Amino acid sequence: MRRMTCVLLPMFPMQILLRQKPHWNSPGQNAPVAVVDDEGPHGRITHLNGFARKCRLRIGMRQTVARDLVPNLHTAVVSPDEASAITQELIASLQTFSPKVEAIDQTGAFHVDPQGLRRLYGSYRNWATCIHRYLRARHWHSSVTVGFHRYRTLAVAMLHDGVTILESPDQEREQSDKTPLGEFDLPGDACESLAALGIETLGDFLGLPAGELHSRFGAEASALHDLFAEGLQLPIQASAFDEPSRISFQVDPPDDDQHRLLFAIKGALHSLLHQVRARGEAVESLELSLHLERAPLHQEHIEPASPTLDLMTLLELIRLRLGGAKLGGAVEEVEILTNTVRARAEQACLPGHRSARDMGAAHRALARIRAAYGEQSVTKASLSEAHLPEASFRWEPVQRAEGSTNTSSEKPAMIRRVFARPKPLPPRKPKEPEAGPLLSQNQAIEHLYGPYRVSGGWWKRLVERDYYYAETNYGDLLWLFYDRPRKRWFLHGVLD
Amino acid sequence: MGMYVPLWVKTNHSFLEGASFPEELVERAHALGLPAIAITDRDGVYGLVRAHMRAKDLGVRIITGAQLTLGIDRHAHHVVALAKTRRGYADLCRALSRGHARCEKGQSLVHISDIEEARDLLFLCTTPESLRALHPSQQHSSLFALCARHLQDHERPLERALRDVARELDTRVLGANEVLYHEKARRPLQDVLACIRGGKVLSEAGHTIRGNAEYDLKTGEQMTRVFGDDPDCLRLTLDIAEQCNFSLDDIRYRYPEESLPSGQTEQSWLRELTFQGARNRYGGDVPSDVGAQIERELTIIRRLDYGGYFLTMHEIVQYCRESNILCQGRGSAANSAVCFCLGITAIDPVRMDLLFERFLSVERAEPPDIDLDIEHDRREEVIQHVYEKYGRHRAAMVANVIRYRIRSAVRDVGKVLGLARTDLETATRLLRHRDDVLNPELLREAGLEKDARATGLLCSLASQILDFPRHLSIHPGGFLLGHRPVDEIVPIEPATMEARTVIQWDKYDVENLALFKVDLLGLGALTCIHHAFDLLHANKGESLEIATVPAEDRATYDMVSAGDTVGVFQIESRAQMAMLPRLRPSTFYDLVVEVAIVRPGPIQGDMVHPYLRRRKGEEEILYPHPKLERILKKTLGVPIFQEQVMKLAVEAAGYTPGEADQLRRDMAAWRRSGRIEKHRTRMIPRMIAEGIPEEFAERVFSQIRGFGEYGFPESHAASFALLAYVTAWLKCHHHEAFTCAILNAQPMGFYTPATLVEDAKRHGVQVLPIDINKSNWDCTLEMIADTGTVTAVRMGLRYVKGLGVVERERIEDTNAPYPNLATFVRETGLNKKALHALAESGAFECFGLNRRDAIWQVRSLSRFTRDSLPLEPASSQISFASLMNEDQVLWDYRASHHSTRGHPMRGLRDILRSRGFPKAENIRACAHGENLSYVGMVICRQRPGTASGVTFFTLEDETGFVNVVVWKRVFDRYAALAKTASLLGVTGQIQKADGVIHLIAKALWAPDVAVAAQTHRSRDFH
Repeated sequence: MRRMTCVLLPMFPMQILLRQKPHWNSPGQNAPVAVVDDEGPHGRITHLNGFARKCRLRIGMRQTVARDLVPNLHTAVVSPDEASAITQELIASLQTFSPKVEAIDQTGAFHVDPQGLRRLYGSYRNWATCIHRYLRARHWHSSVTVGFHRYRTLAVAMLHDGVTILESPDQEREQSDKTPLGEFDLPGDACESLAALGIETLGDFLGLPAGELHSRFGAEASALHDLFAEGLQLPIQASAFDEPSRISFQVDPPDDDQHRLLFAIKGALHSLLHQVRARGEAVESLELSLHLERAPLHQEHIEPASPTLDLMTLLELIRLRLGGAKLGGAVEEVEILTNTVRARAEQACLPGHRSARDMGAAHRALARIRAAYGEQSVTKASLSEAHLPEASFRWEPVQRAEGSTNTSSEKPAMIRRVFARPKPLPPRKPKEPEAGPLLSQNQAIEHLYGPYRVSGGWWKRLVERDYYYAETNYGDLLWLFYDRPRKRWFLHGVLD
Repeated sequence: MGMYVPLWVKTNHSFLEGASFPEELVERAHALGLPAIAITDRDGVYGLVRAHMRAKDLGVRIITGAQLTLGIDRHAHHVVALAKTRRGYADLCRALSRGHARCEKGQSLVHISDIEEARDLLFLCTTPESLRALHPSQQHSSLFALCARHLQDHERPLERALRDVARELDTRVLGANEVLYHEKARRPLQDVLACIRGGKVLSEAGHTIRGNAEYDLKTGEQMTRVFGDDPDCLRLTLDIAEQCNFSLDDIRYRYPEESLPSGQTEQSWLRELTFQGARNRYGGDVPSDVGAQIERELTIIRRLDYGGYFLTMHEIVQYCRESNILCQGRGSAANSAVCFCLGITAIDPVRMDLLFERFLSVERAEPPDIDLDIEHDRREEVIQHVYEKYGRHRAAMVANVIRYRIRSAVRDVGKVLGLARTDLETATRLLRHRDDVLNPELLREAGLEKDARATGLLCSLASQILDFPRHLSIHPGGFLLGHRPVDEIVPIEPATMEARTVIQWDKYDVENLALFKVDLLGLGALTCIHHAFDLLHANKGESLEIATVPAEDRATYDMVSAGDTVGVFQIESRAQMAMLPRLRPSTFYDLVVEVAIVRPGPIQGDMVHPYLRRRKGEEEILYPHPKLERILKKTLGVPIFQEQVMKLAVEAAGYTPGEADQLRRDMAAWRRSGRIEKHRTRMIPRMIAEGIPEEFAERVFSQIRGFGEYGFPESHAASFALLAYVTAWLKCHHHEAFTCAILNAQPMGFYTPATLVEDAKRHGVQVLPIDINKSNWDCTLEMIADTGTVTAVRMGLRYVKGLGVVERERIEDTNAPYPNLATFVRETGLNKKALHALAESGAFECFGLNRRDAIWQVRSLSRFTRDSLPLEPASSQISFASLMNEDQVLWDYRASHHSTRGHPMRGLRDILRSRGFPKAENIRACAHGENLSYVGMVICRQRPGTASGVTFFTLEDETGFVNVVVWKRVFDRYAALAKTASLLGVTGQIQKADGVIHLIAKALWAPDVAVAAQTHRSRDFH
């Protein structure tokens, strides 16, 4: 008979939380810990550790009530995203034990196909024990059940810790029937109603007529009943191996000549693009790793203007990047890893419909600049709400050029050019009164307009500045400020 | 020194914006020598009264105004409006009322049309748009451009534009800064408030917070420097201040005139009604002493011109009477013979020798305060009647300002500082609600030590924000009524609750301005009494009223003296039950004392034990001074009532009646203000000088402090004692009607319905379970078929958990009895949840279905609720096992929070007996000092503030109650169990005194016997 295995990590969100906060679970700590569905006072408890249960906390309690009872309760939210990311990691780990792994709806539960692995490991028990040990070594508490039915193995895994090998479908049925119904994710109302009828175990539940469940206890109850039907079972919906395309080659002897390196990279890249094309994808970015002789690894991130399969475009960007890079030694090995996206077919524009502005060319140009001068070399100013001038905008890296949206033809009367860092003005001599800013020897201030006071940040570091516009004897317009805490003048910009 | 008047000042009553109390701003203005200060809260006059009261003390002039949010071209603009005269103030209040009426709670948007007619208002426009918009409708002399200079660069172009428009419209320009705090040190707090309001954290606040700290109240010199280029615009503030002559003292409040019969004046009509009532009360002849008292009171009422107020209260009482709603005046109104004769109160103050001056005096000339208790489930009818009679403009409810307490302060400030919400929750749980100091140690314990700077800021800012107003709520029953529209006195806002409107002042503001307040409060006991009278009338043909309940009934007093008072108003608590066997009330006045003595005031003042010893003759009745004998004679030389404390202050410490009244007010406010302490230095030396022992003087003062929030005046205790007596009499003589009534009046009182049902059963009352063919929505009295005379209580459908108003209507729209379940389901159309709840409660057992079978059936039948044809769906017939008796009890509790079939403890009795645990009734026979263990259901946990951390548990089994005393160290040791257990084991020692038994806990434990956690819900009071 075909075998089926269920790997269950009970209290999965709690396990995730305690791995994130190991000090809550350290020996002798005895800390009550709860997973809640919301950080606020009305968030409800979804999982509890043993100590919290001993403190008489219960699943479903609101956080505020629980804290009334146990003031030193530790709580945190485990987001679905976190759980999902860790589930993906676990799938990848379990794929080392079987090519067919499927995460099932029950959180922290996986179906793993053991077919053909008994011979490799000697017995199913050895194989299951290896999985169990592997997970335990990574601080996961798990139960591994090898049985026959997809969901009955899950039900048995809910009952037993460690490794369980079921010898026959009858044994599997007998054991799984004892699983409390509350272990399954049935809606609270259905679960309570069934409990009221004395239906407390899976066996009791499966004894009810299937056709009567949907109308009485809802679709979930009916679906759960169907999962345990004795008929044909769905095969495992195995997760795909999701590995990026990569290629590497040795450079022997180690070489630091860029032309020769590029030539070698070209060949490898060609074959890599072939792989990517075969998967119906295009390269969104490249991670180029150069293993150097007697020097640390050199890595570059290269991103074309848009996902591409064009060898020459990518090679040109690599050339530009390596042209500006200083390698600490000769290259021993080159490794190229691609981040890909699904390739999109784009319709070419008819000549008459082509925009006067070729934005594609702009994107390509920016990609070349980035390749030549680094990722941070192309930025744009983005406004943000703040009182401090330098906090009221920030430079953000730009991947793609954007057409101007400014339709106003009016030019501003003046332009204030703000220095990236305010320039300190010469301090006055120790006994000289703090009358005003001091410029260079032959430059004097004729008029000072202000002050405009900016203060804030008291919760972090107090900033207090009096800003002025100054007109010099040369007619220059300066923008400067007196820093009160530092008692010093700074030039922050000029107007023209 | 340059001089100016700040004309744009917002107090912290501009919720979550202003960062200084009104008093602080006024004090600062006084300290700076400013000639006046305007109070212009955002969209209202919320902080005006507090500022006004402090300004009166300091001699600072207040200019009254508000910052209006003006809607112009779909944009909101701020305009400061200042009242020149009383008429201008009325216009301002009216405009604000309209502004609020068209917005959601807490917001206002005034339209130009709202202020077009205003003539005595000055408008200071902060934007060119508002100046231009107001120009056509306002006189030249009323309109100003307001230039604010907070040294921010965006202000310069705005000022330029504003001045350009002002020049164009020939409008004068004045200089005034927006003041949000009285000193710069409050700037961080203002930032925090702004972030709370904007729902931001400080690090991402951006323009939610102000750009600098220039929003403080500045000196004249500072302002002169700021407006150095245009000194005229500052001088103009002085001219404007000169023009604004209105003061809150100018409010000539007049109580609404009642509609009078022709030829009558208020006074003559009041006199006629009073004497007419007196003749009814005293059976034709008004005794001479009563007549004299009425005359004296009427004279005072006439001199103070308060006749209308009494007529209003009379009218409300008449309305209640006509609508068959029970009501009764409480508080100091019971000191008045006029109130008694008008039917407002039920206590005869002449026979009780109550002090009228406590209620009303010429010397105080303050409005009387009559609190009217009304059946709690019909209070809304009376409230809507008041609205209807006086109109929405002349009647509005008094506000209740919700202020920051320590927990909300830590939560909100911490959130703004970006601290982890879970850590903040931990911290708030470690704090007690009444704490007024934030202990940094607690924050460390909560895990907030990680960010030491933020924690330090949290400590400082949370302490600063304490007592700051957060938002406006509604007073439980306080009404402000006016002869003229109330919105000429104070703006009216819509409340969150539908069909309610609320003024912008709270009860302290209303009191400070000597405005009349009518308090309409809900009281469950009145509902219970009314239900009981109706049941007696319907089932036994007995017609009763509160006044006709047989007085001084021996059996009732015997029952009360035995502490058998579950459900009896005011004397049912654990503490009262423990006191009753000691005090053994045998007259009505004993009940008055009983009601008043188990209060924190007398307990903290250590007055209880001396009184009990003297009553039992174990201690000689001594008076600390001969002239105190007259005051203290009624209470055996021990001061118990508020009036006695006031009289003591007059007689023993030489207080004038006015000072004594101030003492009463300070007593009421000491927790908030600490004003009571000044009386200590005044009272105690004076009493000692009069020859009163220091120990007694200290005790009296300690009691005065205790009275603060919890002491009862004698008249109030008497009003409550009357209701206590009536409910006790009903319980004693008509227990089934009393039980039925109190179950229908829930929620009320001290005990859960389960305890009330168990108590009734222990007293031989038969209680029948919920039955869909026999139960009404409310509980009913039902004749037991085979007796013909004995009535039983039939539990009502209201006790089925999960049924509500909709289900009630659907069931009441159909006709019981139903032949079968399918008919019931089809006719009522109830949803699956409601049907399941009924099935679980056993309501369908009349159809021959056990509860499980009924659940299985209703969950299928609920699909066919809309079918018009009486077709039963075909379904698999499954039969489930019937419940065992113990399970039936547990199901009852789960489905309806009570059981008529038995007590949950009965099912455990065999096992408990085998382990040697006694029943509650056995414990009564135990000797003092005996050690034992007991297991019972927790029905109440109570930790009174006066008990130094002691928690009192009331445990119940099928035979009665056991009172358990848990000392703090024992409670802390078993905290989680003590707080959560519904079934609790206690090991301890018996303490027995005067027939009162307590089990003093040494250990608490969870019995290892199976009982469902949901059986009992305890009522916990902390």
